[in-house]
Amino acid sequence: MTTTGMGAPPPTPSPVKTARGEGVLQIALIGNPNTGKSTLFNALTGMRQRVGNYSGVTVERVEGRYRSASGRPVTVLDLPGTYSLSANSPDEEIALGVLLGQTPEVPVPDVVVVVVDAQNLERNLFLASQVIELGLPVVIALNQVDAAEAAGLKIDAVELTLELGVPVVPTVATRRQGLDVLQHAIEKAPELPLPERRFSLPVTVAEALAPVERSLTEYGLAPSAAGMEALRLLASGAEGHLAAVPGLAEQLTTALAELEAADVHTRSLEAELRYGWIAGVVEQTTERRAAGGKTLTDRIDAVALHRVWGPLVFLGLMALVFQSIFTWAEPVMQWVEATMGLLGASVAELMPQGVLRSLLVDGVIAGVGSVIVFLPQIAILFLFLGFLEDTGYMARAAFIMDRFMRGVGLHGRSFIPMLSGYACAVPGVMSARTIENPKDRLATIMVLPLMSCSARIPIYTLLIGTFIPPIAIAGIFDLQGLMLLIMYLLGTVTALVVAAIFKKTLLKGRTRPMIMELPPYRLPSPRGLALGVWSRVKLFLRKAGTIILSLTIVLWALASYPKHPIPDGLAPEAAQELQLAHSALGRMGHLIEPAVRPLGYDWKIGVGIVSSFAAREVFVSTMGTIYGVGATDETSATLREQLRAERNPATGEPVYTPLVAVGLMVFYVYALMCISTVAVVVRETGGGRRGWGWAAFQMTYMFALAYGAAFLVYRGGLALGIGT
Amino acid sequence: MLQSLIVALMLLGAVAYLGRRWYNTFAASRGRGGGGGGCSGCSGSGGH
Repeated sequence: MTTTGMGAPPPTPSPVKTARGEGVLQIALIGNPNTGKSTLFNALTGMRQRVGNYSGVTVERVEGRYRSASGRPVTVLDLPGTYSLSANSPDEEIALGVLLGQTPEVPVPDVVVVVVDAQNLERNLFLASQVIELGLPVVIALNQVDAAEAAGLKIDAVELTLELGVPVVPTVATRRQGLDVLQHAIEKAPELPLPERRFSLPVTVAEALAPVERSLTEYGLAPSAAGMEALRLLASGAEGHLAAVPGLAEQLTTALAELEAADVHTRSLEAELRYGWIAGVVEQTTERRAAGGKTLTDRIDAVALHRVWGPLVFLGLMALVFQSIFTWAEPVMQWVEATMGLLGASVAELMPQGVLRSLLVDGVIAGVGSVIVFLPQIAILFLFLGFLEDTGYMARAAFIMDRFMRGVGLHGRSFIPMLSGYACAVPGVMSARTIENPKDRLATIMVLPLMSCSARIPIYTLLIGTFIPPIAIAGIFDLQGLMLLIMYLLGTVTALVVAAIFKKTLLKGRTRPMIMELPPYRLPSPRGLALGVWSRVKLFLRKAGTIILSLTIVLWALASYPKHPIPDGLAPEAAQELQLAHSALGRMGHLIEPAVRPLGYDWKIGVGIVSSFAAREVFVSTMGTIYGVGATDETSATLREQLRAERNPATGEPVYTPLVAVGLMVFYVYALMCISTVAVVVRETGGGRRGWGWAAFQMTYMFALAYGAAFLVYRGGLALGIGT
Repeated sequence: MLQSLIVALMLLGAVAYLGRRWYNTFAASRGRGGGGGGCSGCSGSGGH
């Protein structure tokens, strides 16, 4: 066996007792993000799990089972993706805690499988070298060897086995290659000598760390694990799970002082030693074919990550997405609109006149139907976002955004929760848990609802489709697509500006740089894309069938009662308008009207805004119900046509102008009209009085921003004579 | 008469549904990790 440092000592028995019976083999999977760890987990256990390294995905404990070829049951624990065991983030702490046997609910694994990306051997071996020192049986799954070979890298697995002192099995998890050999190696690993550190420490370092290692061994750590921890603590200090070790902090201070006196850079010592050894291992085991052959990923990234072209490509792609929402969705939307109209007409014809018919036709079909017509837009948006995510482009978008994020003082990691905010703020706020710095986390949560979520799509597309003309701008783009892009950009840019203000005032603090993995580009699977879109469509329909339907029924009742006496001889339109104005909803609306008048809105829009606090789409269904109840004929025009035809009874002027529509959209970009987001912010900012305090602060600042911006747009537009 | 009865029942059902939903949403916000309630517009990705 070849070693690069001190010779391997004789095998020692495992110092840690496992908690299971002899029969079940407990293994843990660990690896850097994007090594295909989750894919390997799925391939081994057959359990379905989302693949990717977005925050929150593998933070939770994920377990699966399989039976080995010899029939032995094996339990697989999928640990969070991590670059090292340095315990700098919650993910790393979880992984380290499990491997050291300090997580009460999880037994110490019998075998640790380190998933190593063959394309990034050097960086991946850092974590592997730490795991090897923990005194547990280890197997290395050298994954994605096919991609490495395509990139001109040939790794000698046998040589690597000799260098690391643990079995190395080449695998391609996506194609289930090498799995049988891996399973065999896992089963046999406990019978092999336990691995040890493969490089030696300089004498000064070894002597300075000896007392620290002794304390850790007395505390219960395996000797090799104590060695790994002692070296790690030089950079991170005795915090977290080792804070309770008696006398450790003092011993560490003495060791640091001795090493500093000997001119050793203690902060970077571990990295220098490990990477120094790793460089030798890689040199020994890897052959590079004719350098200079750039992969397709390299060639695409040369443009996609370019300082100037990168952001432009990003903007261009987003513009294309938003344009397609109008161009592609329109025919399907018209079809859904026509179907809803037909449904309303059929119900009106089949049922006798009465309150139930009015509820179904004017309330449910007009209200819920007006939201359902936006289903094509939602599907197209998520088809595109899913495509960009599955090809690997979204990771590049996060990389591009990281520059801007750091510019405003936010951690690059914040962009990932913010990106999920484009779908819905609630999972975004929850995934902010993975941001270590509490101030960065709070700043991210505070600005996250400014990202335009999918619930705003029906409002934006209703108003843009109705009031913004499709004037061609450049080839395939037109004013409608551009307007939608502007709304999304407005939210994103404002989120960055507000975050910068928070980070300079309320939540001052230093931001650490982010290390990010950029996976190679790949063609997404149509099935995966279809499943992603279907899950979004299902959620949208469920929301329409529950919360929107319930609110529509309540709003219909409020818009229909109490009945007002209609004077004889009044025209049907005027009679309907009179009834609506004197209904409970009408009275409430007139109460709200003075507050929204300065923004150019009438009482109906005011009611729409207030009711949409339940969920933003309710604005559209409220408009559908109000105009449904207010209409004289139950088979009448679509909501878009009704909005265009709406006139101020006093002046005869149109109520909705392009200017009012733009102002209203700006209002919805900024206003926190979502009860679920408020609830999750309360919980994630500490709950109780503290949580409510932050949520109230967020609602207040966002409402002030929304009102102020809508006022400026409307009044500014009036003064300049634009869009009136 | 029958129509009015059905409408009244639907209204009652809607109010009860919304009341229960919002109660659950805020009951879950009392402490971290309370689970349940939460988002009405999404599920899955955050495990909520």
